[in-house]
Amino acid sequence: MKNFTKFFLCIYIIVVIALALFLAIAPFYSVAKNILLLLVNRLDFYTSVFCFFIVVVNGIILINILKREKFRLGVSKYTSEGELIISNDAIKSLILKSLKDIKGLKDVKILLKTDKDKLNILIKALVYPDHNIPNLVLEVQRSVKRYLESIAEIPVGEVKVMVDEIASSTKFKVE
Amino acid sequence: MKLDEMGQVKIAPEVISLIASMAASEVSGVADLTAGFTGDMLEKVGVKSPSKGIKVQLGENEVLIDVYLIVEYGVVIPEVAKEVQKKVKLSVETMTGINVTQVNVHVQGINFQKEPKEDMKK
Repeated sequence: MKNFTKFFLCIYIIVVIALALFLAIAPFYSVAKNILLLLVNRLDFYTSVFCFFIVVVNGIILINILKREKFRLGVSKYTSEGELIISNDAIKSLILKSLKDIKGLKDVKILLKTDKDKLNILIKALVYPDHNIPNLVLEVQRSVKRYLESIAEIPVGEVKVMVDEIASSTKFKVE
Repeated sequence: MKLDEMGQVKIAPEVISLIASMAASEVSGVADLTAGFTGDMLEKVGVKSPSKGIKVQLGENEVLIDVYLIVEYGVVIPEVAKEVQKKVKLSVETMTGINVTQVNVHVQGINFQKEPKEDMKK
């Protein structure tokens, strides 16, 4: 779960707790009861907006929870003692580590796709100028494949490398 | 649950979780067991679970165990997983007498902070 979603979820839980507490004490305190009755009598457009907001927040949280479950799946292997599941997070960490020492790469985004029995990888790369791109791509492909197959024993199918952009350290002004 | 002449012996799932957790933590190459989002939040407010990262599905006289863990960087993951499976199965079966049908290992992440031990490096 992303930090933004966690923050969102915390705020949401606090609001729900406050509302629940307010409703819980309302029957016993006349002030709270009056406020509640006043709110009920003044149901208007803004109430609808607030309720719609609550529905949207619920939707976002639900989508994130479901996404997370899907994301957690990763690659699984069966052994005599049970199953071994390596999460996509862990595989991405391994790929990033294997690319750390390759000169010429500034940033990468990794997408994983599991085929029938192999893992296909798409790496979107931001590369530094003055590097031979075909050689760099070949090095990336070899490094990722070799590393994953030796450390995680995951059969790697394709390693596609998409050079998204060239990082430029200097910007030229055209006058 | 086991029946003998003296009566029933019931073993709570929490006990099995604890045994499995201790066995898994002792394996070289395991950095930590993961508690998940709820567990992490509880840990931050001071509620620590000794059997975090373990899910137990208890049957009549058999048990299925899921282990959620983070491994050290540099170790061969399937070897560590196999070792975890063996050790958890052995510990639970020895201490409780309950048959362990499966030990599923879920590798949730890699720990890059500590250097792995020499014997686990490839």
